[in-house]
Parts: sequence; C-alpha cells; structure tokens
Amino acid sequence: MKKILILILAAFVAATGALAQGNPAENAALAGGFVRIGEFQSISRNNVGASSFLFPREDKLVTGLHSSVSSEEFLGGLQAVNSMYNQIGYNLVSYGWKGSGPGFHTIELGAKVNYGLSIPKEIFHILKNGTAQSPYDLSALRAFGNVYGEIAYGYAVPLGDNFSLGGRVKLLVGLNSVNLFARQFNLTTTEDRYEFDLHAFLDITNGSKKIGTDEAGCLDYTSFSGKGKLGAPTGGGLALDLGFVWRPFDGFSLSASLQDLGGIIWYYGNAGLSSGTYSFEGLKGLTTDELSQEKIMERLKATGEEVLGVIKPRAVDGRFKFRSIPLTASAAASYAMPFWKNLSLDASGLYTGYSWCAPYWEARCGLSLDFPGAFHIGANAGTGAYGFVYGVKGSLEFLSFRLYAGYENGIGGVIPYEGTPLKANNKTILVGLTYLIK
Amino acid sequence: MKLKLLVLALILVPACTHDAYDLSRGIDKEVTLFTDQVSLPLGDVGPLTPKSLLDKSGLGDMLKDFVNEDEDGYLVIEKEEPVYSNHVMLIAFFLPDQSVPVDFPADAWSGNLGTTASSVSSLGLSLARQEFTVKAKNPLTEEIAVSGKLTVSSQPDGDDPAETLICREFSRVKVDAGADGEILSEERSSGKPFFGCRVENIFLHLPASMLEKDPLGGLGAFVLSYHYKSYLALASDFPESLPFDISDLDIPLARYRVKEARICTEVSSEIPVTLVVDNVQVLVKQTDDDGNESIVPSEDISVTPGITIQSGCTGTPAVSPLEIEIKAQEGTIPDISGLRLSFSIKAPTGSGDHRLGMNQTISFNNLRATVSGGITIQGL
Repeated sequence: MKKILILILAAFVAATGALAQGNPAENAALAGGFVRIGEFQSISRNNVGASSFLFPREDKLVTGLHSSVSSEEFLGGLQAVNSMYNQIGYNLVSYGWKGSGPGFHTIELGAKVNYGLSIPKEIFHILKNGTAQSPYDLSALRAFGNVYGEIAYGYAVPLGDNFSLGGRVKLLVGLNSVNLFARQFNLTTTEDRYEFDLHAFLDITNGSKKIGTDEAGCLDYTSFSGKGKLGAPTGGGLALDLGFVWRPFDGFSLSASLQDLGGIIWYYGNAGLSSGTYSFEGLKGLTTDELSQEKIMERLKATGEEVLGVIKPRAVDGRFKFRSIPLTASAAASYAMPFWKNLSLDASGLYTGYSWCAPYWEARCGLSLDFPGAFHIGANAGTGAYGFVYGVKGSLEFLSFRLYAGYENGIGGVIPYEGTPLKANNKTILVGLTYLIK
Repeated sequence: MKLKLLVLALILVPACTHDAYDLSRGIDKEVTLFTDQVSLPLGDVGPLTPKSLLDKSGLGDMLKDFVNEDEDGYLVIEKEEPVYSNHVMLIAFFLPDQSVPVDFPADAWSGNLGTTASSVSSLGLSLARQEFTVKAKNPLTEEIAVSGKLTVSSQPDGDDPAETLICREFSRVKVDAGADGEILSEERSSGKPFFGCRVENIFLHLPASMLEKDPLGGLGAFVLSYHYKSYLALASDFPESLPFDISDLDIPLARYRVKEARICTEVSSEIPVTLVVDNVQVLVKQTDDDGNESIVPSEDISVTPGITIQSGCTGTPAVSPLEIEIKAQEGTIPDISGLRLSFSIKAPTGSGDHRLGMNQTISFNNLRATVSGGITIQGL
C-alpha cells in the first residue's frame, strides 16, 4: 500500500528528475536528429551499509558478530531483508531522426549488467543470538546476475500542441544469467529437532561450460563438459518503454514513463532444483561400539550427505524460463519561473523493483538553469527508500556536441580508499556524449 | 559563488571518509556466535546393555569368574548333579522276576547348595528367585514312572535348626521312552536361600520284560538329577561411592571460549539398580614447571551433582530426566581431557522383578545440548 501511495505521489510530482530516465516521449519535441555514443550509467543501491556490519572498537574494526557488539547494536542496524543491487548500462550507439511524418524515430544499441543479493535478517539473528526464536523464514534469500544486450526502436509523436506520447520496443539478447531463488526456506530449530523445508532453484545459463551431473542426478560442480561459450546468446526477449509528456500551459510540463516492462526467456543449460524437507534429531541409536570419535564422525558424515541430498540441486530441465528485467516507473514535472524562464522548479519520483530484490523509490525537488544551445545545470534533493538523496547534473553544448553528466548520491560517508558506503545508499553516475544533427 | 560552494559541499560531504572504518588497519575476524543460546539435538545413545558396557571395559570376563549368564542373559548361579544313577542291566540282574512290572527302590540322596549362595552375598548380591528341579533320564524304548519325595531346607543359623522350605512328594510321574531331563518336580521360591536338599523314597516303576523288549536299553542307565538355578539381584546399597574415570577424551573446547553448557536427556533404564552420580569432575591437562604433563581435576568448572537414574526392570524401564550443567566459574571451559565420575549404586526398593540381566537395556534418549553465552571462533 505504501509503495502504491509513493508511486501515485511520484506520478504527480515534477522535477528535473533522475538521470537517464529515458522517457521515450521526450524525443517528440526534437526538431533535428542526434547520434549518441558511449553513454555509461552505473546504479548502485544497498539498503544497508558497511557500518551495519563493521564497528570501530578502540583502534580496530570488528564485525557485528564480535562479542563487543551487542545484539541490539548489530541487529538494530539491519533491515528485514538486506539487499544490494547494481546495474551497469552501456549505450554503445543511438541514432535519432525526424521522420517524414510527425513522429521522431530512434534506434539504440546497448548492453546491461544487473546483479544483486538479498539476505534475510533472520540469518544474522541466528548467528548472533542463537536459535531460541525459532521458527525462521529465510525465503527472502536471493542472488542473481544477468547480462543482456538491447536493440531498441523508439517512436515519439506529438498529439496536439500539448501532449506527446512515446514508446520503445527493445529486443533483448540474453548473454548470461545466474539465478538463485529460495521460493520457500523455513527453518525450525528446537532442542529436539532441526528441520528445514526448502524449495529453491538455481539456474545458470550455459554460456559457459555445461555442468555435469552425478549419479543421483544432481549438478556436479566438479564436472564440466563442452566448450566455453561465454558471451554467446542464451536467451531472447522483449521489453517496452512507454511514456508521455504533457504541457498543459506554457512553462509547465508533466511527464511519466514506464521502462523495461518485459523480460527474457533464458535457455538455462544448467538448472537445478533443491526441494524437500529434512529433519535432524541427532545421531540415532548410537551403540557401544559407535561411541568413538571415528565412528561418530562417520555418522556425522552420513548425516551431512543426507542434508546435501536435499540441498544439492537436482538437475532439471532449464529450457525457456522467463525472467523479468528490472522495471522502473518514473514521473517528473517542471515549472519555468514566470519571471525568468531559464530557471525551473523541478520535481521527480521513481520506483524500481526487481523480483523483490532491493525495491527502491524516491521523490525529489530541485532547481535547474537551462540556457538552450549553451548549457544546462541542475541540482535536486529529496528522500528515498534509503533516506536523504541529492543529485547534480549538467550538460554543455559546443558546436553540435552535447556532453552531459550526472551524479546522484545519498549521505553517510564511505570507507576510506574503498568507496563502499557506510549507510544505506543509492548512487548513480551518468556520462554521455551526443552529436546533434540540426 | 554561494551556489558553487553548495554544490561542492553536496558532492564532498557524502564522500567523506571515516577514518574509523579504514580497512587498511585490518578487521578483527574473531566472532562470537549464538550469544544468547544455541540448542542442538544430539540424538539417542543406546540401547546399551551391561554386557556391551562390561565387554567394552574388559570387566565382562572378570564377572564370569563369579557368576553365570543364562540363555536370557540373567545373572545366575547354577548347580546340577546326579541324585541317582544305575545301569539298566545291573537293575535287571537283581530283579527276582523280570517278566512282571516292578517298583524298584533307589537310595536316598542328600546334598547342599549353601556354598554358592553365600559366595554371592559377599558380593552384595541376593538371590532374587530360586528354581529347584528334579529330572529323570530313561534309556528304555518304553515309558517308566518315578516316585519320590523332595525336601529343601534353609541353612542352620547358630542354634536355630534348618527350616524346611519345600517338602514335596511326586508320585508315579511318567518318564517318556528315551527322555533325557523329564521333570519330576519343579519348585520356585523368592524366599530364603535354599541350602540343604534331600531326595528320598525313590521308586523306579519299571515295565515287565524290559530287557526282552529292548535289549540295547540295557546298556543305558536310569539317571535322576537335580538342577538348581538362582537369579541374582543387588542386595543392598553399595557402601561407598565408586570412582569412574573417562580419561580418553580430547574435547578442544578452550578455543571456543564456551562459558556454560547444558546436556539434557531422558534415561530409560531396565537395570534394577539405582545409579546416583554424586560428583563429576572435569579433568584437564596441566603442565608443571618442569614441563611434565599431567591430567588433574579442574577447580574452575562445576558440574551439576546429584544425578539419579532410577531402577527399572526387564520390559518395564524407568524413565529419569537427566540434566548436566557444565559451567566455568571464571573465564571459559578449557580443553577437556576426561571426566571423573563418583557414583553410588543403590539396591532397588519395593516389589517387582529385581533380577539382574546382562541384556537389560539403558538408553539415553533425546540427548540435546544447549550452549549459553556464545561460541567464539577465531578467523571466521
């Protein structure tokens, strides 16, 4: 409900907006064409920072599991689901041109890398405090990564004097993907019994060598076959971008877009399913002869193999599995000051989600100065899922070239020399160069 | 100018580094897990039997020198000897007329069992149940019958004469052709120990013309014998606490800095003996100034005393909850090299089957351990 309210709010807020939103309807107002080369965008989001795991103690750093860190201090700084998400987007080349009709066409070629990790707080709770608060739901455990290429065709068209509509169709070429997803992972720990109920799958595309199977039909990570084909296409899909821009009166614009609505059908050459329940009640029926360290170790080893029998992914058919790509919904508004049209008051909002891993929202307000044909500079600040955020962006035009860059960040500081944020943070960097065809 | 400063500040402030988080100083990798408590099911041990435990400790052979074990595993004392034995041929020789049935008288027999019974009482054992059986062997291919009188008495005590415990006549009890061990009389008692026994008024009721019908039977002998069997039980509490060292342990606990551990189980015992662990000492290695290593009881670790495992009996085990708490008084529990148990053995009370058996079982069910205060691991 909260997310829905935020989305509705975001849809009605105006701003200079986040960087590289890429609302396809924005292009409808362009008079000439453009060629964009080498746009690079990096998004890094984590809902907990390094200071949630590392704690300064006298002249050293300790982990949250150190005895000098209280349970409240460590666990109090964690989220219910602790996640990090990274996206690197590279736009190799884009070309836009004004067609013979009223619309504006674009063709873009690029690639994206997404990877992330989610760890439920319960895991740290068990490690820190013990097993007294059983049962535990560890179903939020998740890790993923994918690489795919994009070939996009966009079309934006003005509808009347005040309204523009745009869309973009993306052909997605899946290159590699890893997906570990615990659909169900319940752990019960009592004095008498440890029991877990697991239903998780692990999918790895066969861009690399094929993983073999053991006698039990489980994926055997020590056995490979075939030639390495890293980078070869292993999936295909489609995605849509949709957007509009509405300028109800002079100096004010309202826009919204939905990007990357779609996904990829992957051919997972290595797919495994871990499913089942296991109950450990200790070593049963130890006899007098077995009361030796060696025999007990043998029994423990056998128990470990039984557990592995449930955890170890059994090879399953991994062909043609659909996985969505990160979806972004954004809205922006801008109002040019009547007393000075170059100065605008902006607001924006966005929501990004990817299979429940690191969902993110934010809303910002800002000011921007725009001198068409010369430069544009803007700054904004607001709040988001991870607290205070701010951003600066600017572009510079010289001859027919436009160089643009943007930087968004949160607050809280970083680890020296490492740059790892100490607090929950959203950080975005954008750099690009466009040649304007007049 | 102010705008530039604001932009610069916004860029630099979040990029501020915190020297306290400088990773080049290294991260202390020591972690303490499960600081509240962690419980772990350990499983079940058993069923264990006295036989398996004694065999493992090497005491089984020693016990065999004193008592026997019957086919069901009960500890017993047994005695068997012939009361009467005579060859058919010899008997026939003295018969005036072999062509008619005859009642042939045999000599009376007296003996005593007291020596064996008194020897177990010196071990603190008593006779839980006694069985006295008179048996017969018939070598003929034709049925015979036997009559007689059995008297079993107690041991005289000072001026008190022996008390007759059993006086039983058996009359014309049939003994099948070729039978070896046909029971003529079978007596059971849970009372006073049998001591003296006498079989008298013995008559062999022989068929007519037995040698003519079975010439080869003449080569055999009529034999009467008795079999005495007494089941053992613990007579009284052991007067002293018994020490028992488990010295071959090597539990490297020191590195984990455990302060307190609790082990719980339910002990299910068929053994008709109450075991009380009076004291448990944890043995640790100690090195003196000369570098000599010795294993000594640790003064810093307390273990819950007063553990009692109730007595049960075959088929009806007694279940006793058992909880052992090992706690370091100061610091943490060191490496454990062994345990020294002092335990008392108490005789069972009340009625019931108190027979001691080597196949009686003791099981430690639902063993579980709980560690409180955390487990420290270096360099996770």
